[in-house]
Amino acid sequence: MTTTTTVEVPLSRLAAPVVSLERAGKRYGHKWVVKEISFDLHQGQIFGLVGPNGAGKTTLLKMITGLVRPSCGTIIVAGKTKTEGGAEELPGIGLVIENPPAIDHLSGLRNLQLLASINNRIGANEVTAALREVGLNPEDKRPVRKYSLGMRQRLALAQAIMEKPRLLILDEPTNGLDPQGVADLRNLLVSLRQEGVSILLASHLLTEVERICDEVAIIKNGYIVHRVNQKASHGCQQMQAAIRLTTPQDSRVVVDMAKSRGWVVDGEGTDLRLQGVIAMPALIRDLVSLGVSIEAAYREESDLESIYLREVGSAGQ
Amino acid sequence: MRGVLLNEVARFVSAPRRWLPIILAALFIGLVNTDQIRAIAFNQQVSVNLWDAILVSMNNWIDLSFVLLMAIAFSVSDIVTSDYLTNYHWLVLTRSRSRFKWWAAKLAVVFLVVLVAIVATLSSTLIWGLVQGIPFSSMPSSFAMGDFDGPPYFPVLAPDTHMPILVISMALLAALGLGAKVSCVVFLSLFLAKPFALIGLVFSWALLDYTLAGWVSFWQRYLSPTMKMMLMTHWPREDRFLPHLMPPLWTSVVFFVVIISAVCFFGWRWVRSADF
Repeated sequence: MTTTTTVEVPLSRLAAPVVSLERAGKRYGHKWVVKEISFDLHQGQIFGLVGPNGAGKTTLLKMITGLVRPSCGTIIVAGKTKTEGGAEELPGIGLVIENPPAIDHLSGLRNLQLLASINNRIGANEVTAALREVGLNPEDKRPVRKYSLGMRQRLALAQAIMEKPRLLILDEPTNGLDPQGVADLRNLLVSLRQEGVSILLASHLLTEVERICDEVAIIKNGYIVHRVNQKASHGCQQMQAAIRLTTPQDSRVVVDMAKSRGWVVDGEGTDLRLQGVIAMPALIRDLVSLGVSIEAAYREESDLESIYLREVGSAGQ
Repeated sequence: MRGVLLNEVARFVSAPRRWLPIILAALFIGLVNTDQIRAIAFNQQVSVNLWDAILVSMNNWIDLSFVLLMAIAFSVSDIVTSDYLTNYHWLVLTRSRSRFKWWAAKLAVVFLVVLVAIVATLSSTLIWGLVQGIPFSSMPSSFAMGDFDGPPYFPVLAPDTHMPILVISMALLAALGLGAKVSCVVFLSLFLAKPFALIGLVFSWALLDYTLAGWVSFWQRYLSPTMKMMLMTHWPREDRFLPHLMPPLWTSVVFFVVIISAVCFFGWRWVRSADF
């Protein structure tokens, strides 16, 4: 089940999206690893992908970078369309992957210089600037094999941003970072967003994703099972209420009332869940006045972690 | 292309385990052949020089097509699969935007390694020879011209043979032949991501080639890559050989170029549409 929230679109978002996926999917043999994924990533937007291990996040990121061909659907990155069967790496992408690789016997600076030599677009100044931006010392002559996990992660970030990409794809960029490193990364991503860089972020750190992402998709078994527009949900004070009725016959009354007020109703029988702009005291008062017998009513948390646990925890849906 | 190649070379150099087998093989071949030349000089009372040790090693099946081939195969059999393990190719491919460059760089590294392995073998032979007191000369020795009792170790040379040119030509042909063989291994690693299985295949191939060349004359004359690699010593006297017994040298070069072109083309076709 995919739940979306309608939001007001800022004018800057009316331009063509930097990344656009339309029912994109990937199948290995008979197994669909990614299926029916559709979303747009606009300039200056941070889009979060969360989901359990093996949900298909990395495959989806590979499809967007062009390293994996889609089995169905369309992927448009920076105006270039990729459809079934086409495999071509796409332009202007900065990439941080899980367990970032490096040439271990070379220094961080030398590693970046080698990668920069591939398309020769930037010089030594940009490379050293990128290292400084992520908090590494360009003068550090130590080989990368002597770096800590956090330093390696910072180096991976430096290689991703050094060529000033329009699209940044980050797969677990906080791995191994200490709290200061996580905060630095957050600030860096926010400043890149302000410069117009579009960012696709896959992470298990839900609090960080919630803090910096404009929109978040929860992926499970290759599907997007829930989408959260952070700004919309914060701005409208959306919440979720869970109600347990004494008799299932009253559920009809509750559903009719919820629909008349534009709320989303989930569940059946005596256990119902309402989503929308809801004030709990008014809800209880209205239900009682309609003659509904309530056994329990409580407000459910609507933060990303709660939504995530609810969606990912509900097996088989 | 230069940047992609630089990355590939830097990654290759960074792993000492890749160089160790080549260094050991080069030292072994140099020592064995200089020892052998010294023994021949003593037993046959014939004059020898440093070139003889090189000619013997470049015309020796075991040295060239088994010891050196296995060492090189051990070094390069995982240059593709190591990318799959580390995902380094993500960083390269998203920058280069050309999978052909990535594949061509892999093959270029193979040929660089083969060339370095052969130069290391020749250097090791020269150094061991000097250490053992084998003299240096610009002319072929009496041993190389067949002035001794017993079967020759390689086709006898004319007195006016230009030794440095002959040795360089032999090294280049051997590099082409070994490069063709090992590039087939790297091509197979695109589908079979099991480096040790590939080394096993190379081992089996070396035995098969050795056996077939010993028993099937058609294989020996026209198909055996090792025989073709060793044709260079025949070249100074090629006009004396019957073409149906000993194919001309240019056919060897064409044979290897066809193999390399096929590997390059079919590898690129696979890489072009592969999921990484």
